[in-house]
Amino acid sequence: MAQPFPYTYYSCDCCDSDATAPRAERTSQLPPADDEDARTFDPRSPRANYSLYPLEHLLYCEDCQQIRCPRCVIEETLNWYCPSCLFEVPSSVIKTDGNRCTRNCYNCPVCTSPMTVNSLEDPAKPSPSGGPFILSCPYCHWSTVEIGITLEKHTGITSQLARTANGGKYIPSQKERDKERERRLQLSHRKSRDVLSGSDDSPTVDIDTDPSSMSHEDIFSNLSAFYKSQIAAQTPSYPFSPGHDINFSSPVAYSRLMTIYSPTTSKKRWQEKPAVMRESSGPLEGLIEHDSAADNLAIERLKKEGWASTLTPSQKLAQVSKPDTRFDDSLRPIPALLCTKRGKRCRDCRHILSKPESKITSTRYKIKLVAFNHIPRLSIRALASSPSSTSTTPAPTPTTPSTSTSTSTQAFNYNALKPGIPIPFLLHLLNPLFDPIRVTLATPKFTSGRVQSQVTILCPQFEVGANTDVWDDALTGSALGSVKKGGGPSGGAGGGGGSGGGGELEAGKIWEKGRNWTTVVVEVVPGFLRGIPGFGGSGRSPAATTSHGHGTGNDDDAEELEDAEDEHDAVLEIPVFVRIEYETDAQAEDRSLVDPRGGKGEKVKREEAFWTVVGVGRIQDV
Amino acid sequence: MDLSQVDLGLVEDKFERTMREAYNKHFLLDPKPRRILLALSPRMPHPLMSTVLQVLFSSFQAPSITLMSSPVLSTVAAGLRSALVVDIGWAETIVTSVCEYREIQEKRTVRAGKLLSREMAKLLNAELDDEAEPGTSKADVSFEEAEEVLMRVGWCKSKPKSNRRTLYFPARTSPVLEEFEDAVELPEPTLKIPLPKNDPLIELTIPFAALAKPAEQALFAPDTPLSDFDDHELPLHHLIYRALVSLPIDIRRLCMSRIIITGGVSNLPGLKSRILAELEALVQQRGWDPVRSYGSASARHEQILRQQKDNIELRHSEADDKVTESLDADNPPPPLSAGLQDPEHDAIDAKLAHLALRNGPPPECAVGGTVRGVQSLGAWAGASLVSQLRIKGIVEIERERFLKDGLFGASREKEVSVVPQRQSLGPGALGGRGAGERASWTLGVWA
Repeated sequence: MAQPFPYTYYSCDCCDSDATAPRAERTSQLPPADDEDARTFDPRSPRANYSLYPLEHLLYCEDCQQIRCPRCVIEETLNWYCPSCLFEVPSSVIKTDGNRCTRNCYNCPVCTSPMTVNSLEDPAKPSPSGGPFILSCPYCHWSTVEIGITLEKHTGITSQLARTANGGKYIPSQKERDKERERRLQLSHRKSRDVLSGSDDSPTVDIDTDPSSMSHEDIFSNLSAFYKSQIAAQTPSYPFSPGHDINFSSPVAYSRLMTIYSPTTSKKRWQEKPAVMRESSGPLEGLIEHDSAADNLAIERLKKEGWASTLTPSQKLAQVSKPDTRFDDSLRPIPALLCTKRGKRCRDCRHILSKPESKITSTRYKIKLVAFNHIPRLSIRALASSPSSTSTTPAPTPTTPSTSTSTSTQAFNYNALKPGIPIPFLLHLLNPLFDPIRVTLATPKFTSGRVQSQVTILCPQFEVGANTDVWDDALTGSALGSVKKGGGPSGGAGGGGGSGGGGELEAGKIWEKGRNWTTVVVEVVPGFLRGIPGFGGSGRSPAATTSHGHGTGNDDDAEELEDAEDEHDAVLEIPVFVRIEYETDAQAEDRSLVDPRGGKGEKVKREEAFWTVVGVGRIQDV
Repeated sequence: MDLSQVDLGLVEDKFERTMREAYNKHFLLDPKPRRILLALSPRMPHPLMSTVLQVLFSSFQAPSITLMSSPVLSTVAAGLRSALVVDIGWAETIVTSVCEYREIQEKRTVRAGKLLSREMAKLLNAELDDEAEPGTSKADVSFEEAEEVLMRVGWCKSKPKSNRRTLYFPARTSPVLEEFEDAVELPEPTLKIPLPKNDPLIELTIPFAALAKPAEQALFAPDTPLSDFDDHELPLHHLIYRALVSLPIDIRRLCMSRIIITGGVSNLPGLKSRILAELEALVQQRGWDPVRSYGSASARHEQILRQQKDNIELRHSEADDKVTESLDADNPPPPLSAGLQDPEHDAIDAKLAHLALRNGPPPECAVGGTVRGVQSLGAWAGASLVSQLRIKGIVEIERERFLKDGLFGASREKEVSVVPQRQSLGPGALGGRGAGERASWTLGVWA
């Protein structure tokens, strides 16, 4: 996983709830007596990857009172912009011109870095415009000179590029091409008639319809025009002379009226069965016959120029609308892909969960219901590295465990957990709510997978104080504000007397407690990577280590095979089920805004439950 | 397709994530939900299809999804009505014959991209082992490296080079083939391939001809006798030939001159030419006879074949002779046998043909009987052509109906007319269901 140890991922249960949707075929494949609630979350199951997110990525729907992950929200695009020139693109342009920037933003086709416009002006004889210009890549020094394109102006590059083929040849625009096609089609039509009538004196116009030179777009537009003309000619809804150019999608009622009042000849036509649409008959209609010359050309070229002239797969894929590029002289600069600003809605209740400001340059949000304002933040760190940092700065440190480990003198190495030795970890809960919460933690005794590690939460039930104003505590002088180590008993009030001293690991006691946070100890006994097939969980307890010693000799062969799996198995992840209960004001809407003590409304009992996965570290191989 | 070992939930997760990325990064659509047209293989298993539809309906709020079969769409994208679509994919190659936009039959083989990639990796490993000094560990080329080499410099000999001398060829094509066989280049051209994954970077020098071998081995397997192949691993040209032979003769005539080779692997330089050439050779050798071995009668059969060929040759030479002889009018041509003479010229037939030419489709549309390849833009381009023309599909699934019953909601009827029925314009028309709405939906080919 991407994050460094230790990390916490939260699970969104949206795919489980999806299973209730009608899926007759699926149900037969599910295990029959699999109760949704009874199942423990398995971080190793292949599906887990798709439901686990860091807390920062999650949203929270206040109406459904549920976590919303990226896959259970509906996204809607608010506006489009080019990430390179930060120019907003209206949606009408998106429809006509596609998802690329139509101004001057281009990326290098070789290395994908943004290209700049440079002048190639000859200082001896300066031109009035300062040109010619080229697009060049400041990183890999590829430029449009290599494909034989220079530009006249330094703006409107898209339109200039659209008119220039590689090598500097002029490409007619789409309209001109359409016109040209019409002309040629008529010409060839007339020609065929001339052949029939025997007169061979038609003007012989040089038609260079070379199929190999046609681009995909040309063929596509030819085909599309051909089909349109065929449908227009064959459609029975328009019974008049097919030569007329009237939109074939005109309403049926209209044409029927026309048939009633039209002369008998056309009525007869109406009765006729429409002729079957024909196939296209030539390159102008999109029929391209296979031609082995192009193949041989490509092979010859490969033979001559070798590896260096071919494109890597990623370069090939990046080329817009040219799937069959192979050599580096057919590269085109890639116009920048547009980005969008999207609002998110809850899929169930359609409430807006997040909505950015519509201004492109602004990164602020109008509405943003993020989960870490509603869900306690769970974090874990090793006990060994913690005390120095926590004692000096009590309140917010544990939110960034990685920094605390780096500052401590002897950093705990999360990437080398010693198997078989119990390691105490601190599980830290930070309450973002304005009400005190009661927390129940649960975890399977052994982690799943081949390497079984034992996990014990020493104090699974405790309370976390409300997220009140920092100054409130100071003013009221309540006992909650002070830090107590090894504080109150599990179910007891938060303010219970501090019974134990600092570093004592005692079952049923919380480790440390602050204004709105509580820390409990989790004892982890990492399992052994070299499992013993006979003994299911090798790292079950320190007692198992003795049997482990002679077991390793047996499975040397298996080790080879399992090496690849080991890398994955070595990661120690603990699924933790978190259930919180709290009482809050009845008004859910402004709970986060109003101070709970301000509105003495009715109290409502709320409950939340979710799975988290805590990545503790990587087990060391012994 | 074997789905018994597949976790469909995982498939759903992956598909959902991919679709989400596609929507948000590339489609950049309006918030408005869109109709979706899916190009699917006609043999798509129902559970998989149901998963895909479920994701599209629930996560992307599509109001309706139209299913179209990919070989038909490839045909559309080639501008044809009938075709033999050879789709060389990753796991398997599927040969589908399409006639008048309908699938007629389908044959498949595992000789496709996966096998090709594996052969290329084998070749690279062998070459690396040759270069490395003895004692070092065996080379192991990664999948990405093999794929990249294949995509960049892989190629395929465009002419069959095997010992075709034993085969019977008409006199006019054989010289070309022999010429090709004799052309051996000296010195042998080589190619340098950098393999950056190794440390330090290895630059592998490989003879250019060797890079054509994987395609040869994986797709054509010329060294193995035909009897050794199992049903699922026929070489491509044999598969296409069998598909053509088993077609009715009229459809075969249409299909054999409209062969569309598509799929990712088909971009390998020379592959399309090679397939067509191999097929041509097979047809030359065997004709359209489904019987492969006549056993003891084979001698007689060959004799018949030869006689037929001779007849054709004779006719060709007669035609050539006529041109030359008409120049010197002194020698009257020797009388031909009645079977070889041109039929009497019929004025009415000519006139009808003339009319058909004038009003009907141009003569190019009636091409048939020869092996000819046609380029297609591919199934997806065909799908966008179809949707651009607002053509209604036979299989159109609406959101509410699918969410209610799943795939079981489909009616068993395979063919549903999509031509809007004529309705009276009276008051009853308003009360009844609209012309666009259908009472039931069907799964068509997928049912």
